[in-house]
Amino acid sequence: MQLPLIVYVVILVQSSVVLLGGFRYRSLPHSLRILEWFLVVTLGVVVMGVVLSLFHVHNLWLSHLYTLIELMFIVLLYSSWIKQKQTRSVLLVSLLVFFVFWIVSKFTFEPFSIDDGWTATFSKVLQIIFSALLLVEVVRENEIVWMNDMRLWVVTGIVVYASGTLFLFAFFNRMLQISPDRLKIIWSLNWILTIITNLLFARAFLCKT
Amino acid sequence: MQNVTFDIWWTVALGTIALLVMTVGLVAAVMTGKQKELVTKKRQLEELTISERKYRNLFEQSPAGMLRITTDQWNVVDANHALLRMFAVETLDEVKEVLYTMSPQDREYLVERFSAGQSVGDYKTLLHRKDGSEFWISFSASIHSLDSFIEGVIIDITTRRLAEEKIREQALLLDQAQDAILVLDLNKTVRYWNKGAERLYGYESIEVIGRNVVEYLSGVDGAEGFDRAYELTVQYSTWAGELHQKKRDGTAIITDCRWTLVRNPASEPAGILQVCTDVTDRKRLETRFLRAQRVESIGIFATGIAHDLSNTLAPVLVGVEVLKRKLLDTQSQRLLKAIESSAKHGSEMVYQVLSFVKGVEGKHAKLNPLKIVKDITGLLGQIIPNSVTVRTRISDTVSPVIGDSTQLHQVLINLCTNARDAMPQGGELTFSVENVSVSKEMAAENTDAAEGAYVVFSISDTGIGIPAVEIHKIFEPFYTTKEIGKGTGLGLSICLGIVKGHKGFMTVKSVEGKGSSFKMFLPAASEMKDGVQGSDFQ
Repeated sequence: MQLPLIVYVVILVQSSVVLLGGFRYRSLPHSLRILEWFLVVTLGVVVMGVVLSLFHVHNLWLSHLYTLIELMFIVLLYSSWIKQKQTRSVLLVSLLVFFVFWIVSKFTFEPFSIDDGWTATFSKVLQIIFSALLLVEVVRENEIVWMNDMRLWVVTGIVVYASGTLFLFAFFNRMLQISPDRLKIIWSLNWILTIITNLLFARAFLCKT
Repeated sequence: MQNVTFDIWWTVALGTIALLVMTVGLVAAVMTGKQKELVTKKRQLEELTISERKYRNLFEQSPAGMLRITTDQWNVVDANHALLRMFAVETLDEVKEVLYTMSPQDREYLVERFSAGQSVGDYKTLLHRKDGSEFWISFSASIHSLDSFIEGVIIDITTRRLAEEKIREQALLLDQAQDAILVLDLNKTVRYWNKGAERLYGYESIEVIGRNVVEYLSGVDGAEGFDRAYELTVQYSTWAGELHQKKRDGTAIITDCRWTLVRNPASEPAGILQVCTDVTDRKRLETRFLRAQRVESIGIFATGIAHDLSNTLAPVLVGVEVLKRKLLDTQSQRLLKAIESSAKHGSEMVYQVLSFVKGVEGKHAKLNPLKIVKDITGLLGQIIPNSVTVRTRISDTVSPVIGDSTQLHQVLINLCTNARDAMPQGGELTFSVENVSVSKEMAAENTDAAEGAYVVFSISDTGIGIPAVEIHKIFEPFYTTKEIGKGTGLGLSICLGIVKGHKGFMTVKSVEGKGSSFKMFLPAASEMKDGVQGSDFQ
């Protein structure tokens, strides 16, 4: 099985961003260190998914796990930036609810054998809401240096990826049933957004601390 | 099925694009809005910074001392250079130490004001520097609404206060002056009015300061004299002269004024300094003195004439005596008698003139005034017609007087005769005698009067009276209102001479058409044991 070229580009970009984060790790604040670890995990998941697919091993379970891990990292990251306790509580409770939803979905309507369309969609919706909450809090601050505010780059990256892939995940199973070939084409959008998001994360790493 | 498939692809594609655009647009809009807000805030902050810098400059460059202190302990948070210089200190703590040198009463008052959230304006208090020197300050302060600090301005008013004290002392000195001292501006508005002016004109300074002076200082005849003097002062810078003015109660006064044009530092006329002295009494005395001089001159002149006349008449009388013995016919005797009568009348006039001029000196003894009155009232029946009612008012006890009985009889008869002549149509003649005490003020009005006890004889009539313009002439010799040939004009002059010879004085009051009242004041002597009581005449 031959993978599209863009997948390798994604891996290359992700690796570069991880290397950048690692290179600046000592000077990174706590929140960006979380981001760095999140990107390392993401890169690992992507690489593992690619390897498994190359060896024709079932890898959908990896996607299920990643959906949960991704949201946990994002909640952890945002919690380090959000100062209001109530908002942080909303994030944690939402994560808990999502975790319950995720568990239930694995044993009922969305087992590891199929794509995690619903949980991923639910996760993306939560990510958009969390990003909005963080953005509102950031905007309330008096002193913002836009180009040098790491939070804005990260939030923008997450919002762009979440909103851009929401429909893809929501209709993934349906599209797979209709036309796997077309799905491969449209799935390129996911890779493009991944590259964009990683570039935005890289910009966050370059912000002065 | 084909349609459904087509729809899903487009739904995903368009939905993704729409959601992306929407979220990215939303983020961009929020960021742009925030950016604008931040730009506005930044501009406001810059303006605020500029303003703060400007006011900081004002604060630091101000010649007045400025400070910020806490409301409770007056800990000094900030103070400008002027304040540090004024207090002669270098640190803020030292500023507080100097502030604490104000009197406890002043501090208590200020603390109360600040505690009540009230401001203080131009509060004057005394402070002490660390080197012990004193200085007066004017303290104005208010509590800042935002941070509750007291923000104050302190001005060193020591020099000003010394100047004020000096001015106050000078003003007190001016108030001590007997003269009226006042300052008018060029609109004739009073700017200064000393106590002397209050005494002279009767107006309190608070009544006239800031008001046009003409209405207060005009004379009885209007403001013409005042305005003329004002114009001359403005024209020639100074003016001195007399003004006829009036007091608050309407009394006419004569003031000797020295006016000076006051100029401002630019040498422009700014006002008029007036110094006025009341010379009313002096002028009255001067008038009397001049009149007395005139009378004396007339007396000297009359003495010469009288001597010549006496020498002229003496041969006539001697010749008449000789002719009476030679010319025995009836007609000649009648003519000689007429000549003799005229010559004797002339001699009497000469005698009266000489008596007036030389002064009458008779034999003085202690007399009972009631006895004199009794004698006179006995004679009045013969000289007063029935158309005149005579009333007599005698005090129960009257002090004796020292004098010549005959001369005093002459004076009283003369006054009664004048009263009779003033009432040709009849009327009422009142004769009274009483003790009076002449005060210092009353004595000052008459050159012959002295403070002390007097016996006053009054003869009042309800006759034609004497015109006001002529009343001051009636004691002059040869002045008469009677027809030619009926009076010599010497009666009252002689009366006055007699009274003066008794160390007394005379006064007269008269209202034309209503009557006159003559009073003869004689110094009271010690009491008599067996005088006539006033009840004898009631």
